[in-house]
Amino acid sequence: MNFLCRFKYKGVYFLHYLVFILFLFSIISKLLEFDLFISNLNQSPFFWQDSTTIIAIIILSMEILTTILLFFTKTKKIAYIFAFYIFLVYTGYITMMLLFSPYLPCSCGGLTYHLSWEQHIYLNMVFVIISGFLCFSNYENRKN
Amino acid sequence: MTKRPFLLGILITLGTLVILYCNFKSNNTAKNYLQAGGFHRSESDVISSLRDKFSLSDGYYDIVGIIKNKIIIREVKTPNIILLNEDKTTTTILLPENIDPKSIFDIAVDPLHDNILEIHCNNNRNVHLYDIKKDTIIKSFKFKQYFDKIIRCSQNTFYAFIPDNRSRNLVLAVIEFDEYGNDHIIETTNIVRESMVDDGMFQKYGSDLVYINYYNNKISVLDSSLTHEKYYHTIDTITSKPKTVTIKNGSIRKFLNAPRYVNQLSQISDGLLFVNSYVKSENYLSKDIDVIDIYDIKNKFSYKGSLFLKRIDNNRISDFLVSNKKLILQYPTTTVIYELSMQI
Repeated sequence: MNFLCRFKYKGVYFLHYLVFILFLFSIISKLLEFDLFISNLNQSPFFWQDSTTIIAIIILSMEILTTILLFFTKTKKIAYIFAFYIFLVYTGYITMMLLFSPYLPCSCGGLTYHLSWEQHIYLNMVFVIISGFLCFSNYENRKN
Repeated sequence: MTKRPFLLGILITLGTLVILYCNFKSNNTAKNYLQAGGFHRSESDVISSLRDKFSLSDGYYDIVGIIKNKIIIREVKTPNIILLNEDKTTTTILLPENIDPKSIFDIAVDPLHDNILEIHCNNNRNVHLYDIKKDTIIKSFKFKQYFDKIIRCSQNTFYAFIPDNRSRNLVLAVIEFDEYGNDHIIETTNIVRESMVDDGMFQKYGSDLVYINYYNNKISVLDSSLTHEKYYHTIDTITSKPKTVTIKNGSIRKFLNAPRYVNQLSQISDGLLFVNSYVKSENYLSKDIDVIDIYDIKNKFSYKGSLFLKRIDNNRISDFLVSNKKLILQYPTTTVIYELSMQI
Protein backbone atom coordinates (compact mmCIF):
# COMPACT_ATOMS: atom_id res chain seq x y z
CA MET A 1 0.00 0.00 0.00
CA ASN A 2 2.82 2.30 1.00
CA PHE A 3 4.59 1.48 -2.25
CA LEU A 4 1.44 2.24 -4.24
CA CYS A 5 1.03 5.61 -2.55
CA ARG A 6 4.65 6.50 -3.20
CA PHE A 7 4.30 5.42 -6.83
CA LYS A 8 1.19 7.55 -7.24
CA TYR A 9 2.87 10.51 -5.57
CA LYS A 10 5.87 10.26 -7.91
CA GLY A 11 3.53 9.93 -10.89
CA VAL A 12 1.72 13.14 -9.95
CA TYR A 13 5.07 14.80 -9.36
CA PHE A 14 6.20 13.74 -12.84
CA LEU A 15 2.98 15.02 -14.47
CA HIS A 16 3.35 18.32 -12.62
CA TYR A 17 6.80 18.86 -14.10
CA LEU A 18 5.64 17.73 -17.53
CA VAL A 19 3.01 20.49 -17.56
CA PHE A 20 5.52 22.97 -16.11
CA ILE A 21 8.16 22.19 -18.77
CA LEU A 22 5.62 22.39 -21.60
CA PHE A 23 4.46 25.82 -20.45
CA LEU A 24 8.04 27.02 -20.01
CA PHE A 25 8.99 25.77 -23.46
CA SER A 26 5.92 27.35 -25.01
CA ILE A 27 6.64 30.73 -23.37
CA ILE A 28 10.31 30.74 -24.39
CA SER A 29 9.58 29.79 -28.00
CA LYS A 30 6.82 32.41 -28.26
CA LEU A 31 9.04 35.10 -26.75
CA LEU A 32 12.00 34.24 -28.96
CA GLU A 33 9.86 34.41 -32.09
CA PHE A 34 7.23 36.88 -30.99
CA ASP A 35 6.93 38.43 -34.48
CA LEU A 36 6.31 35.01 -36.01
CA PHE A 37 3.77 34.19 -33.28
CA ILE A 38 1.82 37.38 -34.06
CA SER A 39 2.05 36.79 -37.79
CA ASN A 40 0.66 33.27 -37.35
CA LEU A 41 -2.21 34.66 -35.29
CA ASN A 42 -2.72 37.24 -38.02
CA GLN A 43 -3.23 34.48 -40.53
CA SER A 44 -5.86 32.77 -38.40
CA PRO A 45 -9.43 33.45 -39.56
CA PHE A 46 -10.70 33.24 -35.95
CA PHE A 47 -8.99 36.35 -34.60
CA TRP A 48 -9.57 40.03 -35.10
CA GLN A 49 -6.87 41.15 -37.51
CA ASP A 50 -6.28 44.49 -35.80
CA SER A 51 -5.94 43.09 -32.31
CA THR A 52 -3.68 40.07 -32.70
CA THR A 53 -0.88 41.78 -30.74
CA ILE A 54 -3.21 42.18 -27.76
CA ILE A 55 -4.40 38.58 -28.12
CA ALA A 56 -0.76 37.41 -28.30
CA ILE A 57 0.06 39.34 -25.12
CA ILE A 58 -3.03 37.91 -23.33
CA ILE A 59 -2.09 34.34 -24.34
CA LEU A 60 1.51 34.84 -23.27
CA SER A 61 0.48 36.47 -19.97
CA MET A 62 -1.87 33.58 -19.19
CA GLU A 63 0.91 31.09 -19.86
CA ILE A 64 3.44 33.05 -17.78
CA LEU A 65 0.94 33.41 -14.90
CA THR A 66 0.18 29.67 -14.97
CA THR A 67 3.90 28.82 -14.98
CA ILE A 68 4.54 31.11 -11.99
CA LEU A 69 1.58 29.60 -10.12
CA LEU A 70 2.88 26.10 -10.92
CA PHE A 71 6.14 27.01 -9.25
CA PHE A 72 4.68 27.48 -5.77
CA THR A 73 3.11 24.70 -3.70
CA LYS A 74 0.33 26.92 -2.37
CA THR A 75 -0.81 28.04 -5.82
CA LYS A 76 -0.31 24.74 -7.63
CA LYS A 77 -3.99 23.84 -7.54
CA ILE A 78 -5.05 27.13 -9.18
CA ALA A 79 -2.30 26.63 -11.78
CA TYR A 80 -3.68 23.19 -12.66
CA ILE A 81 -7.14 24.68 -13.13
CA PHE A 82 -5.70 27.44 -15.34
CA ALA A 83 -3.68 24.89 -17.33
CA PHE A 84 -6.76 22.68 -17.78
CA TYR A 85 -8.83 25.52 -19.23
CA ILE A 86 -5.93 26.83 -21.37
CA PHE A 87 -5.42 23.38 -22.91
CA LEU A 88 -9.18 23.04 -23.36
CA VAL A 89 -9.38 26.35 -25.25
CA TYR A 90 -6.34 25.41 -27.38
CA THR A 91 -7.89 22.02 -28.23
CA GLY A 92 -11.20 23.67 -29.12
CA TYR A 93 -9.42 26.27 -31.25
CA ILE A 94 -7.41 23.65 -33.18
CA THR A 95 -10.54 21.54 -33.69
CA MET A 96 -12.36 24.58 -35.11
CA MET A 97 -9.37 25.37 -37.35
CA LEU A 98 -9.44 21.85 -38.74
CA LEU A 99 -13.21 21.81 -39.15
CA PHE A 100 -13.97 25.27 -40.49
CA SER A 101 -10.86 27.07 -41.72
CA PRO A 102 -10.34 26.99 -45.51
CA TYR A 103 -6.57 27.01 -44.97
CA LEU A 104 -4.16 26.15 -42.17
CA PRO A 105 -1.38 28.60 -41.34
CA CYS A 106 1.79 27.48 -39.56
CA SER A 107 0.77 26.27 -36.12
CA CYS A 108 3.45 27.60 -33.79
CA GLY A 109 7.13 27.30 -33.00
CA GLY A 110 9.10 25.31 -30.47
CA LEU A 111 8.28 21.73 -29.61
CA THR A 112 5.16 21.57 -31.74
CA TYR A 113 6.85 23.00 -34.86
CA HIS A 114 7.27 19.53 -36.34
CA LEU A 115 3.73 18.40 -35.50
CA SER A 116 0.83 18.54 -37.90
CA TRP A 117 -2.43 20.14 -36.76
CA GLU A 118 -3.93 16.69 -36.15
CA GLN A 119 -0.96 15.59 -34.04
CA HIS A 120 -1.22 18.89 -32.19
CA ILE A 121 -4.80 18.03 -31.21
CA TYR A 122 -3.71 14.68 -29.76
CA LEU A 123 -0.91 16.33 -27.79
CA ASN A 124 -3.32 18.93 -26.41
CA MET A 125 -5.90 16.30 -25.52
CA VAL A 126 -3.26 14.40 -23.56
CA PHE A 127 -2.47 17.58 -21.65
CA VAL A 128 -6.16 18.31 -21.05
CA ILE A 129 -6.40 14.87 -19.43
CA ILE A 130 -3.16 15.36 -17.47
CA SER A 131 -4.10 18.80 -16.17
CA GLY A 132 -7.67 17.61 -15.46
CA PHE A 133 -6.26 14.69 -13.50
CA LEU A 134 -3.96 17.05 -11.57
CA CYS A 135 -6.95 19.31 -10.76
CA PHE A 136 -8.86 16.48 -9.16
CA SER A 137 -5.91 14.61 -7.64
CA ASN A 138 -5.44 15.19 -3.96
CA TYR A 139 -2.04 13.68 -3.49
CA GLU A 140 -0.85 16.01 -0.77
CA ASN A 141 -3.67 14.91 1.56
CA ARG A 142 -2.96 11.27 0.78
CA LYS A 143 0.68 11.87 1.54
CA ASN A 144 -0.28 13.18 4.95
CA MET B 1 -12.10 21.28 -7.22
CA THR B 2 -15.72 21.92 -6.36
CA LYS B 3 -18.51 21.76 -8.88
CA ARG B 4 -19.34 25.45 -9.17
CA PRO B 5 -15.90 26.84 -10.19
CA PHE B 6 -15.43 23.89 -12.50
CA LEU B 7 -18.70 24.60 -14.31
CA LEU B 8 -17.87 28.31 -14.40
CA GLY B 9 -14.53 27.50 -16.03
CA ILE B 10 -16.18 25.27 -18.59
CA LEU B 11 -18.66 28.07 -19.36
CA ILE B 12 -15.82 30.59 -19.81
CA THR B 13 -13.97 28.14 -22.09
CA LEU B 14 -17.04 27.48 -24.21
CA GLY B 15 -17.80 31.21 -24.25
CA THR B 16 -14.29 31.97 -25.57
CA LEU B 17 -14.66 29.38 -28.32
CA VAL B 18 -18.14 30.64 -29.24
CA ILE B 19 -16.79 34.22 -29.50
CA LEU B 20 -13.94 33.01 -31.75
CA TYR B 21 -16.40 31.09 -33.91
CA CYS B 22 -18.77 34.08 -34.19
CA ASN B 23 -15.82 36.26 -35.17
CA PHE B 24 -14.82 33.68 -37.79
CA LYS B 25 -18.34 33.72 -39.21
CA SER B 26 -18.60 37.50 -39.24
CA ASN B 27 -15.10 38.53 -40.36
CA ASN B 28 -14.02 38.21 -43.93
CA THR B 29 -10.56 36.72 -43.55
CA ALA B 30 -11.51 33.27 -44.77
CA LYS B 31 -13.80 34.64 -47.46
CA ASN B 32 -11.15 37.10 -48.63
CA TYR B 33 -8.64 34.30 -48.86
CA LEU B 34 -10.96 32.25 -51.02
CA GLN B 35 -11.79 35.27 -53.13
CA ALA B 36 -8.08 35.97 -53.54
CA GLY B 37 -7.69 32.48 -54.83
CA GLY B 38 -11.30 32.39 -56.00
CA PHE B 39 -11.32 30.02 -58.91
CA HIS B 40 -12.38 26.53 -59.91
CA ARG B 41 -10.16 23.63 -60.78
CA SER B 42 -10.98 20.82 -63.14
CA GLU B 43 -9.56 17.35 -62.73
CA SER B 44 -7.15 16.16 -65.39
CA ASP B 45 -7.09 12.50 -66.41
CA VAL B 46 -3.42 12.69 -67.34
CA ILE B 47 -2.43 10.00 -64.82
CA SER B 48 -2.99 6.58 -66.34
CA SER B 49 -1.49 4.18 -63.79
CA LEU B 50 0.69 3.72 -60.75
CA ARG B 51 3.97 2.30 -61.93
CA ASP B 52 6.31 1.93 -58.95
CA LYS B 53 6.71 2.75 -55.32
CA PHE B 54 10.02 2.90 -53.43
CA SER B 55 10.32 3.01 -49.65
CA LEU B 56 13.12 5.05 -48.15
CA SER B 57 14.34 5.74 -44.64
CA ASP B 58 12.82 8.84 -43.06
CA GLY B 59 14.51 11.96 -44.39
CA TYR B 60 14.18 14.94 -46.66
CA TYR B 61 14.74 14.08 -50.30
CA ASP B 62 14.95 16.06 -53.52
CA ILE B 63 14.54 14.55 -56.96
CA VAL B 64 17.64 15.22 -59.06
CA GLY B 65 16.56 13.74 -62.37
CA ILE B 66 16.65 10.66 -64.53
CA ILE B 67 19.77 9.15 -66.06
CA LYS B 68 19.32 6.04 -68.23
CA ASN B 69 15.98 5.02 -66.66
CA LYS B 70 17.41 5.40 -63.17
CA ILE B 71 15.71 7.94 -60.98
CA ILE B 72 18.24 9.91 -59.00
CA ILE B 73 17.31 11.46 -55.69
CA ARG B 74 19.43 13.08 -53.04
CA GLU B 75 19.04 13.13 -49.31
CA VAL B 76 19.26 16.78 -48.32
CA LYS B 77 22.16 17.78 -46.02
CA THR B 78 23.79 14.36 -46.41
CA PRO B 79 26.28 13.13 -49.04
CA ASN B 80 23.81 10.42 -50.12
CA ILE B 81 22.77 10.19 -53.76
CA ILE B 82 20.26 7.38 -54.22
CA LEU B 83 19.62 5.66 -57.53
CA LEU B 84 16.22 4.00 -57.89
CA ASN B 85 16.79 1.19 -60.36
CA GLU B 86 14.23 -0.29 -62.71
CA ASP B 87 14.37 -3.65 -60.90
CA LYS B 88 13.09 -1.85 -57.76
CA THR B 89 16.48 -1.99 -56.04
CA THR B 90 18.25 1.11 -54.79
CA THR B 91 21.93 2.05 -54.99
CA THR B 92 23.45 4.68 -52.74
CA ILE B 93 26.42 6.73 -53.89
CA LEU B 94 28.33 9.02 -51.58
CA LEU B 95 29.40 12.41 -52.89
CA PRO B 96 33.13 13.18 -52.66
CA GLU B 97 34.28 14.32 -49.22
CA ASN B 98 35.49 17.70 -50.47
CA ILE B 99 31.89 18.73 -51.12
CA ASP B 100 30.17 19.84 -47.94
CA PRO B 101 26.62 18.39 -48.20
CA LYS B 102 25.28 21.28 -46.11
CA SER B 103 26.49 23.80 -48.68
CA ILE B 104 24.60 22.12 -51.53
CA PHE B 105 21.70 24.23 -52.67
CA ASP B 106 20.58 22.08 -55.57
CA ILE B 107 21.68 19.18 -57.74
CA ALA B 108 20.55 18.81 -61.33
CA VAL B 109 21.32 16.49 -64.22
CA ASP B 110 23.70 18.17 -66.65
CA PRO B 111 21.64 19.00 -69.75
CA LEU B 112 24.73 18.70 -71.92
CA HIS B 113 26.11 15.30 -70.86
CA ASP B 114 24.87 11.95 -69.67
CA ASN B 115 26.08 10.68 -66.30
CA ILE B 116 27.03 14.15 -65.12
CA LEU B 117 25.40 15.91 -62.21
CA GLU B 118 25.61 19.65 -61.61
CA ILE B 119 26.09 20.37 -57.94
CA HIS B 120 25.21 23.95 -57.03
CA CYS B 121 26.87 25.18 -53.83
CA ASN B 122 25.49 28.73 -53.76
CA ASN B 123 27.02 29.77 -50.43
CA ASN B 124 30.47 28.48 -51.42
CA ARG B 125 30.01 30.09 -54.86
CA ASN B 126 30.82 26.83 -56.62
CA VAL B 127 29.24 24.67 -59.27
CA HIS B 128 30.77 21.21 -59.50
CA LEU B 129 30.30 18.76 -62.36
CA TYR B 130 30.24 15.28 -60.89
CA ASP B 131 30.58 12.14 -63.02
CA ILE B 132 28.26 9.65 -61.38
CA LYS B 133 29.76 6.68 -63.26
CA LYS B 134 33.41 7.46 -62.52
CA ASP B 135 32.54 8.82 -59.05
CA THR B 136 34.71 11.87 -59.53
CA ILE B 137 34.40 15.64 -59.90
CA ILE B 138 35.41 16.40 -63.45
CA LYS B 139 35.18 20.18 -63.29
CA SER B 140 34.49 22.95 -60.79
CA PHE B 141 33.35 26.47 -61.59
CA LYS B 142 34.34 28.96 -58.91
CA PHE B 143 32.36 32.19 -59.01
CA LYS B 144 33.65 35.51 -57.70
CA GLN B 145 30.26 36.67 -56.48
CA TYR B 146 27.20 35.14 -54.89
CA PHE B 147 24.72 33.73 -57.36
CA ASP B 148 21.14 32.55 -57.15
CA LYS B 149 18.98 30.41 -59.44
CA ILE B 150 21.73 29.32 -61.76
CA ILE B 151 21.10 27.66 -65.14
CA ARG B 152 23.87 26.30 -67.34
CA CYS B 153 23.31 27.45 -70.91
CA SER B 154 26.44 26.13 -72.62
CA GLN B 155 29.71 24.37 -71.83
CA ASN B 156 31.20 27.31 -69.87
CA THR B 157 28.32 29.77 -69.66
CA PHE B 158 25.63 30.27 -67.04
CA TYR B 159 22.54 32.36 -66.52
CA ALA B 160 22.32 33.45 -62.90
CA PHE B 161 20.83 36.13 -60.69
CA ILE B 162 23.63 38.09 -59.03
CA PRO B 163 23.38 40.86 -56.40
CA ASP B 164 23.05 44.37 -57.75
CA ASN B 165 25.16 46.55 -55.46
CA ARG B 166 23.13 49.71 -56.01
CA SER B 167 19.63 48.43 -55.41
CA ARG B 168 20.46 45.34 -53.29
CA ASN B 169 18.18 43.37 -55.60
CA LEU B 170 19.10 40.46 -57.82
CA VAL B 171 19.77 41.04 -61.48
CA LEU B 172 19.95 38.44 -64.23
CA ALA B 173 23.40 38.11 -65.76
CA VAL B 174 25.27 35.87 -68.19
CA ILE B 175 28.51 34.61 -66.73
CA GLU B 176 31.19 32.93 -68.78
CA PHE B 177 34.29 31.05 -67.65
CA ASP B 178 37.51 31.44 -69.64
CA GLU B 179 40.06 28.69 -70.26
CA TYR B 180 41.87 29.56 -67.02
CA GLY B 181 38.75 29.05 -64.96
CA ASN B 182 38.06 32.75 -64.29
CA ASP B 183 34.50 33.99 -64.53
CA HIS B 184 33.47 37.10 -66.43
CA ILE B 185 30.09 38.77 -66.51
CA ILE B 186 29.53 39.11 -70.23
CA GLU B 187 26.04 40.57 -69.99
CA THR B 188 23.97 42.18 -67.27
CA THR B 189 20.31 42.38 -68.17
CA ASN B 190 17.52 44.69 -67.04
CA ILE B 191 15.73 41.75 -65.48
CA VAL B 192 15.60 42.52 -61.77
CA ARG B 193 14.08 40.50 -58.98
CA GLU B 194 13.46 42.13 -55.64
CA SER B 195 15.30 39.90 -53.19
CA MET B 196 13.04 37.71 -51.03
CA VAL B 197 9.80 39.27 -52.31
CA ASP B 198 10.19 38.07 -55.91
CA ASP B 199 11.70 34.72 -54.99
CA GLY B 200 10.72 31.91 -57.30
CA MET B 201 11.68 29.05 -59.57
CA PHE B 202 13.85 29.58 -62.64
CA GLN B 203 13.87 27.06 -65.49
CA LYS B 204 14.91 26.73 -69.09
CA TYR B 205 12.41 25.84 -71.79
CA GLY B 206 13.98 25.59 -75.24
CA SER B 207 15.71 28.93 -75.72
CA ASP B 208 13.35 30.68 -73.28
CA LEU B 209 13.73 31.15 -69.55
CA VAL B 210 10.68 30.71 -67.35
CA TYR B 211 10.39 32.28 -63.88
CA ILE B 212 7.52 31.27 -61.58
CA ASN B 213 7.02 33.34 -58.44
CA TYR B 214 6.65 31.62 -55.08
CA TYR B 215 4.39 34.20 -53.45
CA ASN B 216 2.01 35.27 -56.20
CA ASN B 217 0.60 34.02 -59.48
CA LYS B 218 3.12 35.67 -61.78
CA ILE B 219 4.93 33.71 -64.50
CA SER B 220 7.58 35.55 -66.51
CA VAL B 221 9.04 34.29 -69.75
CA LEU B 222 12.28 35.67 -71.19
CA ASP B 223 13.44 35.03 -74.72
CA SER B 224 17.06 34.24 -75.60
CA SER B 225 17.88 37.90 -76.20
CA LEU B 226 17.22 38.43 -72.46
CA THR B 227 15.50 41.71 -73.19
CA HIS B 228 11.83 40.89 -73.75
CA GLU B 229 9.90 39.61 -70.80
CA LYS B 230 6.33 38.36 -71.22
CA TYR B 231 4.00 37.87 -68.29
CA TYR B 232 1.43 35.17 -67.66
CA HIS B 233 -0.19 33.92 -64.49
CA THR B 234 -1.20 30.76 -62.70
CA ILE B 235 -4.88 29.94 -62.22
CA ASP B 236 -5.30 31.59 -58.78
CA THR B 237 -5.73 35.34 -58.51
CA ILE B 238 -3.15 36.14 -55.85
CA THR B 239 -1.12 39.10 -57.11
CA SER B 240 0.08 40.68 -53.88
CA LYS B 241 3.68 40.52 -52.73
CA PRO B 242 4.79 39.73 -49.20
CA LYS B 243 5.80 42.75 -47.14
CA THR B 244 9.30 43.13 -45.75
CA VAL B 245 10.94 45.30 -43.12
CA THR B 246 14.52 46.47 -42.95
CA ILE B 247 16.10 46.49 -39.54
CA LYS B 248 19.49 47.25 -37.97
CA ASN B 249 20.26 50.34 -40.14
CA GLY B 250 19.23 48.60 -43.31
CA SER B 251 21.62 45.70 -42.85
CA ILE B 252 18.97 43.02 -42.33
CA ARG B 253 15.81 42.57 -44.33
CA LYS B 254 13.10 40.22 -43.13
CA PHE B 255 9.51 39.38 -43.92
CA LEU B 256 6.96 41.33 -41.90
CA ASN B 257 4.74 38.24 -41.76
CA ALA B 258 5.56 34.67 -42.67
CA PRO B 259 4.87 34.71 -46.42
CA ARG B 260 2.31 32.28 -47.77
CA TYR B 261 3.42 30.15 -50.69
CA VAL B 262 1.28 30.23 -53.82
CA ASN B 263 3.46 28.08 -56.04
CA GLN B 264 5.88 25.81 -54.25
CA LEU B 265 7.31 23.44 -56.89
CA SER B 266 7.30 23.44 -60.68
CA GLN B 267 8.44 21.39 -63.64
CA ILE B 268 8.45 21.80 -67.41
CA SER B 269 7.99 18.76 -69.62
CA ASP B 270 6.64 18.13 -73.12
CA GLY B 271 5.52 21.73 -73.56
CA LEU B 272 3.58 21.65 -70.30
CA LEU B 273 4.22 23.49 -67.07
CA PHE B 274 3.35 21.58 -63.90
CA VAL B 275 2.96 23.69 -60.76
CA ASN B 276 2.41 22.40 -57.25
CA SER B 277 0.06 25.09 -55.92
CA TYR B 278 -0.68 25.71 -52.24
CA VAL B 279 -3.83 27.71 -52.99
CA LYS B 280 -7.06 25.84 -52.54
CA SER B 281 -9.78 26.43 -55.07
CA GLU B 282 -13.43 26.88 -54.18
CA ASN B 283 -14.38 23.43 -55.44
CA TYR B 284 -11.43 21.56 -53.92
CA LEU B 285 -11.01 22.30 -50.25
CA SER B 286 -9.79 18.91 -49.12
CA LYS B 287 -6.86 19.17 -46.76
CA ASP B 288 -5.28 15.81 -47.49
CA ILE B 289 -4.50 16.27 -51.18
CA ASP B 290 -1.69 17.94 -53.06
CA VAL B 291 -2.55 19.81 -56.22
CA ILE B 292 -0.45 20.02 -59.37
CA ASP B 293 -1.88 22.44 -61.92
CA ILE B 294 -1.03 21.90 -65.59
CA TYR B 295 -0.50 24.73 -68.09
CA ASP B 296 0.08 24.60 -71.81
CA ILE B 297 3.22 26.67 -72.47
CA LYS B 298 2.67 26.80 -76.22
CA ASN B 299 -0.82 28.16 -75.72
CA LYS B 300 0.05 31.19 -73.56
CA PHE B 301 0.21 29.14 -70.38
CA SER B 302 -3.48 28.31 -70.58
CA TYR B 303 -4.79 26.16 -67.73
CA LYS B 304 -5.34 22.53 -68.75
CA GLY B 305 -6.49 20.89 -65.55
CA SER B 306 -5.13 19.70 -62.24
CA LEU B 307 -3.83 16.54 -60.68
CA PHE B 308 -5.21 15.77 -57.22
CA LEU B 309 -2.79 13.59 -55.34
CA LYS B 310 -3.72 11.96 -52.06
CA ARG B 311 -1.07 12.60 -49.45
CA ILE B 312 0.88 9.68 -48.04
CA ASP B 313 0.72 9.51 -44.22
CA ASN B 314 -0.54 13.11 -44.24
CA ASN B 315 2.77 14.27 -45.76
CA ARG B 316 2.91 16.77 -48.58
CA ILE B 317 5.02 16.05 -51.64
CA SER B 318 8.49 17.44 -50.98
CA ASP B 319 9.49 17.38 -54.64
CA PHE B 320 8.25 16.13 -58.00
CA LEU B 321 9.57 15.52 -61.49
CA VAL B 322 7.87 15.03 -64.82
CA SER B 323 10.02 13.32 -67.41
CA ASN B 324 9.58 10.74 -70.18
CA LYS B 325 5.82 10.60 -69.49
CA LYS B 326 6.43 9.69 -65.87
CA LEU B 327 5.35 11.66 -62.84
CA ILE B 328 7.68 11.06 -59.92
CA LEU B 329 6.51 12.23 -56.52
CA GLN B 330 8.78 12.45 -53.52
CA TYR B 331 7.45 12.08 -49.97
CA PRO B 332 9.50 11.90 -46.73
CA THR B 333 9.77 8.11 -46.85
CA THR B 334 8.40 7.16 -50.25
CA THR B 335 8.99 7.80 -53.93
CA VAL B 336 5.94 7.17 -56.10
CA ILE B 337 6.03 6.89 -59.89
CA TYR B 338 2.96 7.31 -62.10
CA GLU B 339 2.63 6.82 -65.84
CA LEU B 340 1.24 9.87 -67.62
CA SER B 341 -0.89 9.73 -70.74
CA MET B 342 -0.09 13.35 -71.65
CA GLN B 343 -3.15 13.58 -73.87
CA ILE B 344 -4.46 16.80 -72.52
